[in-house]
Amino acid sequence: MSRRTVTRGAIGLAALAGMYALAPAYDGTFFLSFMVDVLILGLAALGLQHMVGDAGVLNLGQAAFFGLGAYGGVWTLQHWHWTTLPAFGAAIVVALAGAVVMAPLLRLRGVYFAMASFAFGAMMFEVFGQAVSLTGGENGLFLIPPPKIFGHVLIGNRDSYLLVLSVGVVCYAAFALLMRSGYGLSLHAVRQSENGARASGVNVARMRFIALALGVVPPALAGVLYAQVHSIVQSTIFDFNQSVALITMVIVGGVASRWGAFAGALVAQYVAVYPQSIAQYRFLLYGGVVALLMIVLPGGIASVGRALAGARGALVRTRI
Amino acid sequence: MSLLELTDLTRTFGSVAAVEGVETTLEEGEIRGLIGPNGAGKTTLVNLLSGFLTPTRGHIVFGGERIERAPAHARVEHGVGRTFQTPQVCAGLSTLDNIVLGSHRRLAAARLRNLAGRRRTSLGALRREAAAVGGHVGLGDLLATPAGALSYGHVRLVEIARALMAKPRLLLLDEPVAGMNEAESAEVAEIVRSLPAEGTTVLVIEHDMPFVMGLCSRISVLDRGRLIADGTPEQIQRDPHVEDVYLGSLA
Repeated sequence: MSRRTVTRGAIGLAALAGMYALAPAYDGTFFLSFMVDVLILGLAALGLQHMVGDAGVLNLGQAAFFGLGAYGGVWTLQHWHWTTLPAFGAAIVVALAGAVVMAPLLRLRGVYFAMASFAFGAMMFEVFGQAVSLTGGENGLFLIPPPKIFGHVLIGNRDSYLLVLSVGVVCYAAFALLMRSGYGLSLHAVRQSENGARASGVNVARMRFIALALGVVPPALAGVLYAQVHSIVQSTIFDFNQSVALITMVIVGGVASRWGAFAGALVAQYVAVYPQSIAQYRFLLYGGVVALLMIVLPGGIASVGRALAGARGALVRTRI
Repeated sequence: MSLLELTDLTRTFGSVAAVEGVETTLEEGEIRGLIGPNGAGKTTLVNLLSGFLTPTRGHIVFGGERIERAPAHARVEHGVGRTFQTPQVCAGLSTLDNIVLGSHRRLAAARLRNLAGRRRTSLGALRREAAAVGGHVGLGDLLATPAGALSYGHVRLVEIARALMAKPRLLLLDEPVAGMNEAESAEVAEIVRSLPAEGTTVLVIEHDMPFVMGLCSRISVLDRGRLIADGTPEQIQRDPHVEDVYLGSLA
């Protein structure tokens, strides 16, 4: 292992320990509830990062999978009294069904796919709003039970936080391992040189679909978590604004970075929640932050380390 | 039985026939040259053989199977490999990873076996094999270098190594020595010459006449989409028709 790998691993572990340490330190505070929402959105963005950053599939309808997961999971929670883990399974199945419906759109590329996925998201939002018997429509579904895992009911923001963080860690690790496997290699090839990939025997259409299918899993889980933590889901959460918010998180965090998805979610959620005194200027502030970040750090928040190293190098060179 | 049989192979773009009525056979173990002036349809023919284009008309029989409708990735499974005139490598991946990609089919198979709980054909084993193939084509010192940082000649070698990882029965080389100096092109000739012994038949497009004449056992000449001559290097050099359309202009 190179020194760089060791350093990165150490930083990662320290960050992870720090994240878990937040739970006892901020038990019962608003900040911890805020972090629960950051992690839920980060999960949905993590799946989108896999599609956009790893596979080059620019999906502008990701909120649909967040919604499909939520409604799929909540149905089993409310009607069949399933617990959280089986509900996760149901959410994944429903979201995958959505991915199958979206699959024919993958024939389109670039902005054409982006447009079509936007339309897909808009259609699904309409379905969520109209299928009142399944989704409760705009009024939503209420009295959704809190998370329950292996007989333990998880109530309060400390438990919610630990659950959501753990799901995030598992998904993060799963994608990190996947991208280091042969699957990751082939997917890199599809994005960087489609012709080279085809000439190597890679079925590009299949790879793009697999990436889409894997990328709908984290938002499906996020949907269930959102519903159980808040005990309510309304269709308005899964509208086009949400899809735009998610893609913005991915880009602000750094398209090529998994942890960037969570960093992007942190920035977005911070601006959405904290500046109470200037609430009406929230989007103005957010727009400014996003624009500034894109100019200063085109690689997103995740590229800050590299940018700093570059700046230090430049300083050293200037001195010589 | 011939390894490859082309019957009336035709591809039109609108009213223009890029390749028209091409009929030829390739025998196992051959090194076949494909020459012709610019725009003669050479690359189109390679695209038809590798599945990057489907023919408007005609058949491609490879190893006894009709493959003209098979998509590009399936042609690789049939045993057809290729390189590109403009190299198509992943600039952000290392030379080694680019070569490993050539074993995609075995990677995928290994994944399935892993799922079934059978013995693991690891990425590590394929990496070691790719390092050996890379060393064989002369990239031994550059395996860790990102492909985007390689020279043009080295990128061509990456493509050849990547294609060899799939152990193709037929390798299509589209101008493998373009932009290379004499020493480099002699090395490529040496690599290509060693392929038939390993079960790989070669079809090579090249404008470098000494390279083609010295390397190939047979040469086909394409002009305006039609095959106008087929023969040994000596026959082709003596063919007055060929001289008219091609060699004469270069001599």
